[in-house]
Amino acid sequence: MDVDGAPCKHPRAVWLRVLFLAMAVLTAGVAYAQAPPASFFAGRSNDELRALARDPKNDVLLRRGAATKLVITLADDRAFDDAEAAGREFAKNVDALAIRHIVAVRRRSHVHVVALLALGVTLAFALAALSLAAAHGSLAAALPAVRRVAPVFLFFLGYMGLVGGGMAESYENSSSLPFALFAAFMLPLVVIFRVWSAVGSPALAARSLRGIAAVAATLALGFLVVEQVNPAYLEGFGL
Amino acid sequence: MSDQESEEREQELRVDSVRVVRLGHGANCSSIGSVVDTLFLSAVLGGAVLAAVLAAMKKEPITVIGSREGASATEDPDHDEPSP
Repeated sequence: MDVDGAPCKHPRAVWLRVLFLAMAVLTAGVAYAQAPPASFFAGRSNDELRALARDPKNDVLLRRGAATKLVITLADDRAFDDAEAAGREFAKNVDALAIRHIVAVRRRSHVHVVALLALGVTLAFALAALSLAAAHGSLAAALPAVRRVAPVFLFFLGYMGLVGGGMAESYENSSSLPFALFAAFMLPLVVIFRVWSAVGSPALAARSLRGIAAVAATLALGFLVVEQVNPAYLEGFGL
Repeated sequence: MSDQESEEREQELRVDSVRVVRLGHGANCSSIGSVVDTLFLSAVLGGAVLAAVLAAMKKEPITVIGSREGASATEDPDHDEPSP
């Protein structure tokens, strides 16, 4: 019907206009509802992110992105209580990934402390044994023992650093740095362990304890290296 | 049907071509990128075994052969050269 009551001459045209109008509104709505890119949140302070996440006038995806970024940032800053509080505050509109991130980073921080302790205690005992041996003048006698096994651990560490690193490097997003650094730090460690075993007690209990300490220190070193270089490697193991 | 179409059809993923769909980290990925972390873990475990063996080695007695008939010495276990 026209305005004056006469039937519309082109009813299909009207429906087409309505259809186009609906499509335009829908497109605009979808565009408006699209989550902002990560760069939108980059450089924003926690207060700004919190304000964005709280403002009910903001789009739901914008609030969700801001809340997720806030929780992840707080967790990365080791402010676990604040991160969990933010997670609870925005529980209805936060990415579940952020909550899992808090758990993972908290667990990683505990493992970090344990790794430092394991490495520190092992090195302290080893260096104490080496100092005692040096005081008794028996340290030099341990050097031939190192020389005998040197080809074995040089081959192993070289293989690990070059072949393992080369394989990792061949993948587009990976780096050989964790392998190279681990091999480099392992070199003095295995020398110390061999000297320690050469100057230490040959009793079975002492040898077993040295072995356990060496395993703990090596695992700790591996964790610390990969944590510094590329923590993404740890995500596969729940850390 | 052109050659290109038949080639594309051959490359299409069919349901009966899928043996298993895995869930989890690096699942369904045969690239080395998905196992780099496992590769590093195996390197660390190998290093741990090496370190344990080196730390648990005991002193090896050196048997001197030829200086005196039937003589053996264990004077300095880690000495490279046999004692005269």
